[in-house]
Amino acid sequence: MKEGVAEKKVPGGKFVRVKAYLTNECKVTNIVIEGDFFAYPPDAVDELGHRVRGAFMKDALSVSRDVLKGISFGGVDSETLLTLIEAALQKACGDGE
Amino acid sequence: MPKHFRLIVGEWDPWMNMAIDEAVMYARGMGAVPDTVRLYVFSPSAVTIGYFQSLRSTVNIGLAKELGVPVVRRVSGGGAVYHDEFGEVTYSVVLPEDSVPRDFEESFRYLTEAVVRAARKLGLPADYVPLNDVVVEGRKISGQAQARKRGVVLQHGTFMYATNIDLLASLLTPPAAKLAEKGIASIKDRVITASQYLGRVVSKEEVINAFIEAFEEVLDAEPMRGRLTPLELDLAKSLKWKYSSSEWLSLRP
Repeated sequence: MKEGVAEKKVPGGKFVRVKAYLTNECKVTNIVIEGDFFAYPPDAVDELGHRVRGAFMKDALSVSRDVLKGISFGGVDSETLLTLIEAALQKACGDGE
Repeated sequence: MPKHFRLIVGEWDPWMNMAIDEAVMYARGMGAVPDTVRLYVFSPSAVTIGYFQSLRSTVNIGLAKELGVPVVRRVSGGGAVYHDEFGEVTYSVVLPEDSVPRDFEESFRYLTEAVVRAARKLGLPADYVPLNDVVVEGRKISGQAQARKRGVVLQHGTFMYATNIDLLASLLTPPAAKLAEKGIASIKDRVITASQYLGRVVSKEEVINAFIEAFEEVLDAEPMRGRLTPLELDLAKSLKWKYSSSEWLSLRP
């Protein structure tokens, strides 16, 4: 099991931490987004973790982008989240496959 | 015909407080109850954390357990709050989503105006600072959070009139990056209570009265003292199970 963490305090915004969990073969098992930001609908942020399960890094990023499109954020934006997701995945598995 | 909102004032336990806020949101969404402002106290004192926050990273769990301070995860986003039974009033306001601006910051600004006005009525030079703070000379006295479901917006927030700041600073553990951005070493340097600023003992009743007047002005509606309906109480009792569960609390361990 591999784990990567990336975090950021958005200037003038909120704190966000992304935790990526992957198998030894670099398949994603979960992505957890934590922090004091706001998001609607909140369940969609949890859903992201389920949607990426079993995906390799590139696909996980593309799925994440799709899921984040449907969420309104306060205190952070989806581009920052995608950058953090990518950084967390890379910390766990380098360039992926 | 003048507009009205239902006003409910009281104190409940921490799990019930969070359950009631969610229940009122559902009931308002069904059209079963009017727009509602609730002014309430946590008894016993408790910590609430935002929906997306990590429990371990946000709260000194060992100290909370040792002191018997319950920790409850909210349905709303935002940060951790210490609700001091003897020094803090929480408000919640539940309205149709289309009666507040759609934009996050604008909706916070609109509803938080009631907090700013309440603080000013008490003699505090309070200002709204985006996204969700009210500050007095740069120090936070109130934080707000929102949730939206079924076409309804719930905003709830804290107002510290005599909170035990030492205890607050011991229980809450904000990320170092957050303190660094504010240029402070401890959360103690970032917060202030009404009593501290005014140099006198501010009472809970003063705060509640100031909030009632402020909501009346901001919502441009008259308060009508009311109570929770049987539907809301039933819903709240069911939801209390969720808020009391370790699964909900550890949603993000």
